[in-house]
Amino acid sequence: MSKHARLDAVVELTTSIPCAPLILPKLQRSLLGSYVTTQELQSIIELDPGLATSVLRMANSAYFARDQKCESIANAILRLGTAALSRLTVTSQAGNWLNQPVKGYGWEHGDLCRHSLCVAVTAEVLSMSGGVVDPGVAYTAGLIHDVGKLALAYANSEGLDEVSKLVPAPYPTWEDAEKAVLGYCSADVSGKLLQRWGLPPALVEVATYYLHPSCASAENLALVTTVHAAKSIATELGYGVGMDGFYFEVDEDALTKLDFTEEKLQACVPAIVERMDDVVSPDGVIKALS
Amino acid sequence: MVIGVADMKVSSEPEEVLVTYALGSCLGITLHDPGKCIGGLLHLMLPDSKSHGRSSPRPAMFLDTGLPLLLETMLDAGADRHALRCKVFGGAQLLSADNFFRIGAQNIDACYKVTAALGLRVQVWEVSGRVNRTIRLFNRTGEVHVRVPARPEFVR
Repeated sequence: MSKHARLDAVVELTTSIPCAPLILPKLQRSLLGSYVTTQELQSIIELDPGLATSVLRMANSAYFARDQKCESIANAILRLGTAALSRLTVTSQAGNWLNQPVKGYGWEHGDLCRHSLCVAVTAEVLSMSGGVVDPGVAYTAGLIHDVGKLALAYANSEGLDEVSKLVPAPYPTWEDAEKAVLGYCSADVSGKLLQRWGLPPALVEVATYYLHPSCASAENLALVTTVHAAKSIATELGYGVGMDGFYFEVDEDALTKLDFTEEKLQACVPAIVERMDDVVSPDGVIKALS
Repeated sequence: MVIGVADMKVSSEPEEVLVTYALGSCLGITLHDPGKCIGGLLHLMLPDSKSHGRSSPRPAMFLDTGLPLLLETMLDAGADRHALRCKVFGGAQLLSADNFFRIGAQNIDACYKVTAALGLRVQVWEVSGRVNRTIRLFNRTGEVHVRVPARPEFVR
């Protein structure tokens, strides 16, 4: 029996994902202003994995949900309206997760946010050139794909310290070591969290299978594979990559089936960096939040 | 002085510290003239500008255009070419993939060729592996301080 928190317990502990402290005053100023466009709200919310998750979660809750699940931030904002978004930001502010340092993955302040932003931007750029996946959904999926790591780092950082000592030997991947120590991995936590919060199946599948896109359903295979490719490129580019970052296996079969090649992926790198320059300054500060 | 991704800067201020964050598979290349305390740092992403079709508005993005530019800027700033010390960092790699995501290895291979072609003798190769490196070049000493996640900082 593992001495560490069980998967259900980690999910249970996670009542909300906090958003970056700096984002809230800016968002609330926008919401209180005389006129704010959906695009302006979207540009703020899309910078933060925690807030993006909360917005999607509320838009897909029983109170707001309609027949159609909400897969993009733009649709979620339209569905919620500014009054509900205001309440949401106050609730997020009450979250206590970031009152203590986040340990376990060797992150410095803001690393998960920078990395998630780069995966989001990369997924969007790849989907724009591929034409198979909706770019807005790809961005959203990239932004929230790793929320389980935040939950795990909060609930079980001692377990992650133990995991870090087992990579690369005897376990070649961080996922293998997490499963050996904890009995589950961060992707399991991400998937369970998003499922519990009522997010669309496509986003749940991305969170659960982005390390192994071949395991995704046929319906969501292209989206999950796109995020897998984006994750790999974002890791190579280094934005916010922690000690676990490089220790995962590339699913070459899935990439090949979606007609990705190394040349095609590398050709997207300049566009990705130009987009990242718009949101992250050279010293790592997320521009729109400063 | 912060050097962003696909960027390059040179300083002749002895107390200056040049820093670039989170190299990943990119390379951070430092040139330093110890006698004149002139230092330069390049954060490049890809080996070959020619494989990207059009001429890049950002030569520092590529090794084949960025390193000659760094060298030229160092010489313009008054550095002695024969005194230059070159150090190379980064080039981290994902777990082995036969056909994808080999930017780190490609950058390192190309760097051996380009530094040789430019007549630069590389003193330090702190490359490859599966770590994300942040580096700081201290102009006074030429020391480069390397930081990786959850490990003590070290000097090269």
